[in-house]
Amino acid sequence: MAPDDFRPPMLRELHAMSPGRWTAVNDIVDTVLDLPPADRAGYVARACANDEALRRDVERLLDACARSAGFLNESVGAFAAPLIEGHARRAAHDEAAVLRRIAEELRDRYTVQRELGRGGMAVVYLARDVRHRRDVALKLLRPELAAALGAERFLREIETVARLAHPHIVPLLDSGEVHGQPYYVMPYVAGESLRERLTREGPLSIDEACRIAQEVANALDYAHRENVLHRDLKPENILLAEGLAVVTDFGIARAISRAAERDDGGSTTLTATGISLGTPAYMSPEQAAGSRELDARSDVYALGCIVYEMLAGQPPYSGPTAESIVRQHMLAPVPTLLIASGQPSSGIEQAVRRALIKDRAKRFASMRQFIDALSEAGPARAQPPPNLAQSRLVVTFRRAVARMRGRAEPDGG
Amino acid sequence: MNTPPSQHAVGASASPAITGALLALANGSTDARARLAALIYDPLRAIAHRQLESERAGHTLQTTGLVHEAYLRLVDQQRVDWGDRAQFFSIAARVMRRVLVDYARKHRALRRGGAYRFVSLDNPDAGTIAAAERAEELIALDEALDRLAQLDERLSQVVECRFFAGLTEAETAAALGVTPRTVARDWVKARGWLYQELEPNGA
Repeated sequence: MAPDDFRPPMLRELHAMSPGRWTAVNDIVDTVLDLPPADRAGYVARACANDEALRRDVERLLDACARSAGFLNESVGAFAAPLIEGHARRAAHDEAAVLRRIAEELRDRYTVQRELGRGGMAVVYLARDVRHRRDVALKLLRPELAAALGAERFLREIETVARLAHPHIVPLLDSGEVHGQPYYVMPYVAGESLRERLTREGPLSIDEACRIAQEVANALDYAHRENVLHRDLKPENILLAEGLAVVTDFGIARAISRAAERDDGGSTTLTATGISLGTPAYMSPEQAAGSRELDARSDVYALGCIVYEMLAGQPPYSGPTAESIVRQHMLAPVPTLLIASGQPSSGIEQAVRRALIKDRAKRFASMRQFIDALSEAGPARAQPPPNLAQSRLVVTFRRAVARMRGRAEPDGG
Repeated sequence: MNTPPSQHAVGASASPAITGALLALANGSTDARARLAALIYDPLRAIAHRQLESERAGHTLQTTGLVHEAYLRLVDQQRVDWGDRAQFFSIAARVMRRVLVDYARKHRALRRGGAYRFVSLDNPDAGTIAAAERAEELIALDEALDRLAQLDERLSQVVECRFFAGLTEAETAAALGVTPRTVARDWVKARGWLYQELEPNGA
């Protein structure tokens, strides 16, 4: 079709049909479509015996039906791909312009180097902290989210996260706003996420899975005592630095949802952005049901899903659509954990099963209980929480952090 | 690697307004359909937008996944039943059509306004010509569908469900409250009618 002088086609007879005529044509064509091809011509001739005009209309539509078998048969996504590609390119162009403006504004403190990843809530860039000469992860809240929430509101909520200090939690270093665009800064953790590790290696040994689970659980237990839930725990948010697990994006989901809660208690501001919180594969039934009263047990459930995945090689529930996964969290019986590495462990199976109970009243009441169950069952020793500062693990971690940060600081602490 | 929260995040922000409109529709409210369509336009477009962004390589919109995702995110699953879900899909299909046609109209407006020139200078490829063609074809299809709806509303709805929302025959049947066989026949007739309507010079 020539784009510029395209006009709707001239009126054609089919389209100009009266409603009565259309009903007659439609009825005959419906019948014909249910007949074997050999019987069709005969039927049309009989049905339109005394009406040449009706017969012409019927045959015209039937003929068009026969010729249009391939028409509209590809998905609209494939059909519109060139158009959409242009749109995406333009959006990327706009986004690059926004980033340039922000980078320009922040250049005394951070120099943005490259994009590390993007998700539903934020785009993450690797940046250089100019003053401290270290790499950081600079995260920009998605513009539509920022617009819906209000930067100020989000930044106020994120302050809660700033007070978390734990060896297995990636701390919040800085936050602020440029041209109404909120950003927050965390240390850049060199290493890989648990997601990348699982993709690379497949299921982990019981030893390794328990060790990671306990480190993550200790971080969560600490945060819960500080009244902060993670609410979006998943392998992507667990980073493995120098072999140790650190949990990132703590409380960001909470900050977003709290910032979105308006005076009426609804979160209509989030609705318009199409963004909502939690990730299907790790979402507790109460979170899936939209409960506003989440507590530590939702994080217990998410960690249960992750331990399951580390051992079985796949999360407890999967499916073609997010909807089907969420339904399973709410309704499907808890699947039996088959430990892929071969060494069965009834203790761990029971602990995971208990973390995954749909009725949260029957789950572990706290992260501490889950940790205890894991350490009783697992071959790995739980690290004693009270004396973290002296533990070998923490010393190793501090060295790792020191190396990551300045690379100039002396080893040891 | 400091991965941000996944784009697959869902749940926990079902819209009371959308769920309410869906329930009102089930109870026979006449304006609920329009209200619902208005309420889901922005979220659906936002979800589409993010899907496109997160798949930088392909840029193929998976509308089937989109409408399912929209349902999951926007509707309180506890309060609606399977029949309401079907209704939602027929409306989401119409909204999907509008979202795509709006892309096309925006493309046309930008191109005519000359704002598109930078793209063709930066990327002098055939893609921009194909994009312009698809934009015009989508707009023409949209207009033809309006004419078809005057003749037979359900035929245009079948096209929205099957083509724009990528629903299966069975899903379309549930969404429109007819049998799958009826959907199959309607789909053949609608395509035939549109094909003839859009054929250059009536062939």
